[in-house]
Amino acid sequence: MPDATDAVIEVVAQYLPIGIARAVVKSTLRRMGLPPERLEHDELAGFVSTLEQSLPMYIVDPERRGECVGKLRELLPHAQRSALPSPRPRAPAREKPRPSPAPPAAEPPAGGTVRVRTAADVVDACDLARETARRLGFSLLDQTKIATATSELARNILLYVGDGEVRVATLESPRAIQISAVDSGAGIPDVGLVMNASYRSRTGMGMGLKGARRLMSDLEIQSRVGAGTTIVATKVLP
Amino acid sequence: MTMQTARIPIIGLYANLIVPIQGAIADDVMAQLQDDVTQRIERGDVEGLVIDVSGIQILDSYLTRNLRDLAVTARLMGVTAVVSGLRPAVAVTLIEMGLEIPGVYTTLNLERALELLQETRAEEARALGEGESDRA
Repeated sequence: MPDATDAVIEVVAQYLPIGIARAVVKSTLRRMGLPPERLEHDELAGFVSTLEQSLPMYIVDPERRGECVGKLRELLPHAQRSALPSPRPRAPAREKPRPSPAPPAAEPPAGGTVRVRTAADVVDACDLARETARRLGFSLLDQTKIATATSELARNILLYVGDGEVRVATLESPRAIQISAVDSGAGIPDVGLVMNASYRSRTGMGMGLKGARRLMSDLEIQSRVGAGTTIVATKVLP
Repeated sequence: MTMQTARIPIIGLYANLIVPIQGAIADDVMAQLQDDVTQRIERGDVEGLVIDVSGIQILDSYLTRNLRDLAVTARLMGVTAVVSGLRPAVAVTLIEMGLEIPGVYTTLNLERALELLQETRAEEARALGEGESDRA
């Protein structure tokens, strides 16, 4: 049987740019703890209902959203379709609590670890950081800053070491997101130098780590030559 | 966001090339794009290049450098380059990081980019015309 994810993406892509459609579907899968790209047909109903809850963020127009939801439900077998509430266009989420059966009242923080070995892993790390930031309540702008900083850290691992990990965690009091980039590569001989204002690397604009530091509340580098590098970047929820 | 792993399409519109970029871009795709764009320019008839980044949600220093290189390469080949559709959050993030795209026009959207190219061309034509009448 073909994977149901493609069918879902195809529907969402009628309303959103294909790249965003894919990301929405992927982040919903992740939120449900399902493996990416492998959606079984019997999981489709739960998936569609979870997806519907996040759609207002992306498809702002209630009518278009209702239409999209309708099309998504057409993908379901009849037996599963009746279990869902009717796809009426709803008011924007913030104005009215949703009447859905399982309200995501206190969305559990995401967080997690991404092993970084390819450029696609960098994208995954950014997605994870953005999703975690969103759940913590960071603004869209801050989500973008956090995802961008994560991209710099993950990209550094890829460029200079080739293998490492990006860990995304949430902190309490003060509420914050923490991104850690860990590798066991050659290490940075002179941390002061790479953070120096006039430093330019061969690959980027020499702004990678400096840029990431500006985007976050705090960024600390621990590096020992031959033993690897750990960079911990934190952003506190305003 | 997903990874763009296929070749990025280049749309020819009158004397302009439009390159829509979405999501993250694999390194080889970026290199291929650079090749494709320069080849199209080399063939002649190209006056403007628009790199539309409205589909990009994360612009880190690496991708920014790649886009700037593409734009500057085009400019060196005599083509006016415009980056269009930078999302507000992406633009603010770039500024905060201290990244700029110097020497490259930026516009709110694709439509404005095409208008800008048209204006630039009209101005050039006018300057050229005035130059000739001066000589006469």
